[in-house]
Amino acid sequence: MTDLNLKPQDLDRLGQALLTLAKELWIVKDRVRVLEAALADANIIVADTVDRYEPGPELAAELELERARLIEELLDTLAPGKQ
Amino acid sequence: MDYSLRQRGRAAIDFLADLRNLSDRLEPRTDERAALDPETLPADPDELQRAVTPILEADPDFRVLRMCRDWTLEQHGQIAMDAFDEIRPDIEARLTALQSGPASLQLDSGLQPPAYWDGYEFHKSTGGWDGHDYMGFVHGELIHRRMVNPNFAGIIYAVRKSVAEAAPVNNPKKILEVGCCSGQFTQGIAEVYPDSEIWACDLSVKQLEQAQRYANEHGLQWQLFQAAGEDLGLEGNQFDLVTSYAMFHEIPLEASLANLKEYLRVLKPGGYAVVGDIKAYHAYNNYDRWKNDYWNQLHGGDPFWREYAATDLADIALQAGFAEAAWEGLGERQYPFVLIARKGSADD
Repeated sequence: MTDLNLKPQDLDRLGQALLTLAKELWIVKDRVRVLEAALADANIIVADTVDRYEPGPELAAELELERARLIEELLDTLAPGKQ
Repeated sequence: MDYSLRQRGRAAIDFLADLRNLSDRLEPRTDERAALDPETLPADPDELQRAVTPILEADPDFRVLRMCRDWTLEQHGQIAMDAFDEIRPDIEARLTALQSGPASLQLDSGLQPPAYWDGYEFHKSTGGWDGHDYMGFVHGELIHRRMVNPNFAGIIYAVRKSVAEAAPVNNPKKILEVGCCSGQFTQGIAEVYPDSEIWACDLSVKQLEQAQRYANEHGLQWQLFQAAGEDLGLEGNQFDLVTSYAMFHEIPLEASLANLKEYLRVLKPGGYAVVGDIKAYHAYNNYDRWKNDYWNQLHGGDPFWREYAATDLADIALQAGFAEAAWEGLGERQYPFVLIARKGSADD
């Protein structure tokens, strides 16, 4: 391939798209974990239960840890600390 | 007011707040690599930008840091508005009910806002101050309480209260706050001076409505009204204290002077103006001044940041006619910087 589709000036938009994608991925990951917790609590599948589910301290801490891991992984890829 | 976000809004806000926090960790790494000695750098902000910016922008990690900060700034308003819209059916009736109570709100349908009011998007927030019918709740509760406060180690309300405490007044009868927004500093004033009559104004209708809801919920008799600080539309010589927090850096310098002239007019003789805001540029070393200027003036959606931080506000207060004025940082961190200016009395 002699010609690149993306030019250097497209990098910012590419980066923004990546972050948007990461946000959406996190929302889905978060939702799946909440769904599991809600199902375990209620033994039924009700979408509204997930929407309104408020994580307790234990689940909130677990989500925070997972969220930090995802973000750090993303940042390590984008900014590996080497020049 | 108690409320619960829906899963999507909650997770999106958590993500954005944590991305901002965690990406901040790139900053010390880029500082270390740049290894610039503040003593060898120029003091002038323009010269500083020319000397330092190319060095930092050549570091790929710095560019990632900037991308993350730009993205969170550009997204936070929309994410918060979307989160609100998910819970609107749950809380709108309660928000409407809170418009009634001891706090009054006087709007000015004929108000001609100053030119700077519509000139840019504050902090790059989608929708600015009035871009959603519940922008006051969106800004005060979702943006400030859930996104900004965690990024400042949970101290933003204590910082506001420290400015109210810095006022050299005893049991002031009447206090006026200018630029009250959704009432976060007003809360601090009410805590420090529970027996005072509190008046507060802002240009934003939506922020004033949120301040009114907060006051009504807490049984506070705030007198809220829509006005610019340069033209309060009030009788003169009636307030013991006129105060403001984090508003002056959002307005041009000539508006700061006009505000202080107007505060002087409405203060009683011997009364005080107390203005809390960002740290003065002279209180930073040259490298930290570059960072503050770069991230706020050039990349933070704050076009008046530099002219405010680089000007001695005490000089502006004396120029406005105050008898005495001092502008200093609070505590060891010298943050925020606070102007304390006294109106002359017959005894002077």
